Order: sequence, then C-alpha cells, then structure tokens
Amino acid sequence: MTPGPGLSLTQAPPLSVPFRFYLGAPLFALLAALLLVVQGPDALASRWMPEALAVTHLFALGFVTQVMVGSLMQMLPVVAGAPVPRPQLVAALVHVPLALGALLLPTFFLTHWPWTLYAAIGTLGFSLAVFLFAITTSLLRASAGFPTVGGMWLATVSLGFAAGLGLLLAPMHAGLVSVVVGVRHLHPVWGLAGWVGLLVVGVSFQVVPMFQLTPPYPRVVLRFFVPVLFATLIVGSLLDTSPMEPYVWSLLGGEFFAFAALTTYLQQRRRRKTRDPSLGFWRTALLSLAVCSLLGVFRPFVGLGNTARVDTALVILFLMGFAGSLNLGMLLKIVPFLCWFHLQATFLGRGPVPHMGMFLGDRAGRRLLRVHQTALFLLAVSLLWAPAHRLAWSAVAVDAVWLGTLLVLATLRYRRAVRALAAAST
Amino acid sequence: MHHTITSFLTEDHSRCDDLWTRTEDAVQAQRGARDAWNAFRTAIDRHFRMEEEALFPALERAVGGRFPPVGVMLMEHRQMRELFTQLDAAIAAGDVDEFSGLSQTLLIVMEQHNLKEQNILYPTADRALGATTATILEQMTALGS
Repeated sequence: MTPGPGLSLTQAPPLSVPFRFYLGAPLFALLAALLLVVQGPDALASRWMPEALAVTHLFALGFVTQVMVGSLMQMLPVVAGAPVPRPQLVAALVHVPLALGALLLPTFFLTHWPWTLYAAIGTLGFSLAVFLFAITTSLLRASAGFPTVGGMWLATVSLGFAAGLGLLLAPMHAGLVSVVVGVRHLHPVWGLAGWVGLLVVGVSFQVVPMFQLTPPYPRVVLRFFVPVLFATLIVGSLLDTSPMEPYVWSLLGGEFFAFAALTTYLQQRRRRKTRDPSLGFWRTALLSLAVCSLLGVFRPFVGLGNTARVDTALVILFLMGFAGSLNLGMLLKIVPFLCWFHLQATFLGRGPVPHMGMFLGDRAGRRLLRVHQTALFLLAVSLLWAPAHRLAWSAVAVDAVWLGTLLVLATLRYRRAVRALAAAST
Repeated sequence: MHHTITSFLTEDHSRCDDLWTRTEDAVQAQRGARDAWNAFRTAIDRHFRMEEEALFPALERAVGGRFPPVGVMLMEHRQMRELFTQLDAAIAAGDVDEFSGLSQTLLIVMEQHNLKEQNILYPTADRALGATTATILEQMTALGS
C-alpha cells in the first residue's frame, strides 16, 4: 500500500522557497505606484499607453505573479499532496529570471531599447517554462478529486496561454510586424481572468470553508464552476473579433460576479465569528471583484468612447482591488504561520516556540488593512476624478512600503527566534 | 448511526470546530472562557484518543506495519498539544493578545490537519479496514463514554 498523498511533513519546502518570492514583491508594487505618481494621470488614458503597459506588468508579474508562484510552491504539498520536485533549485530558477523579467519588460515599454525586450523574453520565457514544467510534473502526481487541483491545472494552462500570447505580442511591440488586435485583447484576459482568476476561485473552494468555517460551496459549483469559467475563456477566444465576442466577455463578468456574491454569502454565514484582518481583506477583494465584473458585464453597452476608461478601471479593480487585496490578506497569514511552522518543526519538544502573533500580529494587520482600503478608495476616486491621481498612487506606494516593512520585520523576528531557541537548547 | 470512519470522525471534527469557535468568542467577550475552553479540551482530547488508541493501531495492523501518514498525524497532534499548553496559560492569565496569536496558529494547524484526515487518511482507513470498520467504530464510541 502506498502512503496517501499530502501526508508527509518533509513535503513542506524550506522557508526560503516561498519567502524569496514574497520579500521582493512589494518592491515591484512600489515601483509601479511611483512611476504613476511621476507620470501623472495621462499615463492611464488608455491601457495601451507605454506607461500603462509598464505599470501593469510591474504589478502583474512583479507583485501578483511572484506572490502566487511562491504560495503555489508552498501550498501544492498540503492542498494537493503534490510537492514540487527539487523545490530550492526550482524556486531559484523561477524567481531570479522572473524578477529580472518583471523589471526588463517595463523598461522596454518605457525606453523601447530593443535589447531590453529580447532580455525580457529570454528571462520571462525561461522562468515561466521552468515553473510550468515543475508545476505540471507535480500536478500530474496530485490526488484527483479535489476541485482545487482542477483550478490549479486550468490556471496553469491559462498562464501558459497568457505567456504564449505575450510572446506573440513581443515582435509587434518591437515593430517587426503590425499589431493584431485580437492577440492584444486576449493576452490580458488570459493573464487576469485565466491565471489569477481561476487560481483564486479554485483555491477559495478549499480555503474559505476551511479557515473561516463557512458552509461548503454547493457541490454543483465545486464540480462545474471552474470548467465553465475556462470554457467561457476558450469560447471568447475562438470568437475573437467577431460581433459576438464582447457578449462572451459580459458572460465571463457575470460568472465572476456570481463567485463574488456566493463567497460573500457563505462568509456571512461563517461559524467562526472572530474577526481578523484577513476577513477584511477578503471583503475588500470580493467587493472589488463584484464592481469589476459588473463593469465587465456592461462593457459592451457603454459606447465606444468610454471603453478605454472602462478597460483601465477593469484592470485597476482586478489587479489592485481583487488580486492585490487577496495577496495582502494571504501574506498576513501565511508569512507568520510559516515562521511558526518552521520554528516548531526544528525545535519541537524543546520548549515553546513563539506563535504567529509574535511575527506579524493582528494589530499590524488591521493597520495595513486600513492603509490598503484608503489607497483603494482614493484609486476609485481617481478613476472618476483625474486630479486625485497622484494622491491615490502615493497611497498605493505607502501601502507597498507598509507591506514590505511588515514582511521584513517578520523575517528578522524569525531569525532572532531561531538564534534564541538554538542558544537555549544547547 | 455512522457506518464509515470518514463520516463518524468528520462529524466529530465539526463538533470540535464549534466548541473551538465558542472558546474564541468567550475569550473575546471575556466571559465564560474557562468553561468553553474546558469543553473544547474534553472534546478534542477524546478525538485524539479515538484516533491514537483505536483507529491508528487498527490501520497499521490492516496495512501490516508502519504507515507513514499516521506518523505525520501523530506529529501534528503533538504540535497541537504544545499549543494547548500555551493556550491554557494564556487563558489562565486572561491575556487576550497572547490568546489571539496562539488561536490563529492553532486554527491553521487544526484545519489543515482535519482536511488531510478527511480527504485522505479516513477514506484510506475505510478502504483498508473493510469488515472490521464496525468494531473500530464501536471501540471509538466506547472511548468517549
């Protein structure tokens, strides 16, 4: 009889595996925010502006994707019983070129130096290829039957599509061929709704009932929701540039709205009444997703003159409001938990180890939540009233610095605790 | 009446979860914390004993030797017991901050432990134990009374 998957403690990767992705991530969010403070509101007049492209990729690759990749490598063993092989090596081979590429690509958009584009393609292509290969190898060994594993699969495939479409766009940006409109539209759809959206939905099915003690998602939702989202993405892509296409994206908006509404409803009925900051981040994320997906639903009906503004709002709400809030809420939990977990794995039975609150407490979490919500509120104002632009993005910069400080503090406290416990037990 | 290990112990997890949330609420409200905590401790100690004294040995007998996942579950029981000791002190001292940091830690350890058991270990036990399942269920029930 083979041991059941997901039941070996040694499957948890070393602390450095997720932390190397986490610690650098806020820096990219800070760079994106500062760039927008310097550039002013015109940078976001259209999402195809070079500055807008630079900022979007800094945030999507440097912050969101880095945090998601780090967490996926940590969570696969626990959630799916499928550890990533050679985690430290894979983490280094994915992390270093991803971070470099997340700087090089925005540099290309801003400067148009050809070498930065080729270097970006090389680094990002290499990083994502290693990641996709590692994650596929591990998912192939995952125990079937969990909707979360399905979500991870389809999110991984979506990341592959988004990367492939991005690769197709690169020679167009280099001016080698003219831009094909369809590819340009599909790349962000697969990157945001596919990679980020499917992963969040799939993981939520597991972690929302588990940690907030909510009723479970209905069985039919667990089984069909992620495949339906994926099918909608495929149909929309196949109908690309046909008159039907915008309505398929409306439908996709409706599906994400349903997810936001259902999850909010389940969280209202949670058995665990204790409020911790992570619930606040969840609510903020789901509210942002609800507004974003409604904008998506009504996008075909707003008139051509307004689509550019709607698209900018969609991307900001999805990346900063939805993905950003969830990443922050997750980091507030996962970082102190992993500090505790690795300490007690090393020192179990040799006296008490500091709990999560010693690395990153609720009070710090609540303050970060307030900073983050203020930044999002100002962003919403700036979408409607351009003069608020610089103030809003300054607030995002503060948000990023605040998060980075908390992560560094937690890491320093962890190191101090390791030294103290090692000294005490010798 | 339960016929599988999975349904019997999953329901017990849910009972322990409820008693745990009541403890959290009582500590926050600073009223009845000790009683809620004692009720939770009684329930979870019993749950651990049902697994450690009845289920795990039976499972290892059924597979004919050491079963590594059982070792991991025992290790996690030990982690939780260490947290119980710390929580006990925090409740005795009425230290809400200390309790909050410990309770978040316990919640994550306990819920991911439950998930692994419910998704993997219990179904494995149901398959491996076969006809002896009913006897094990009786043994576990007897431990609680």
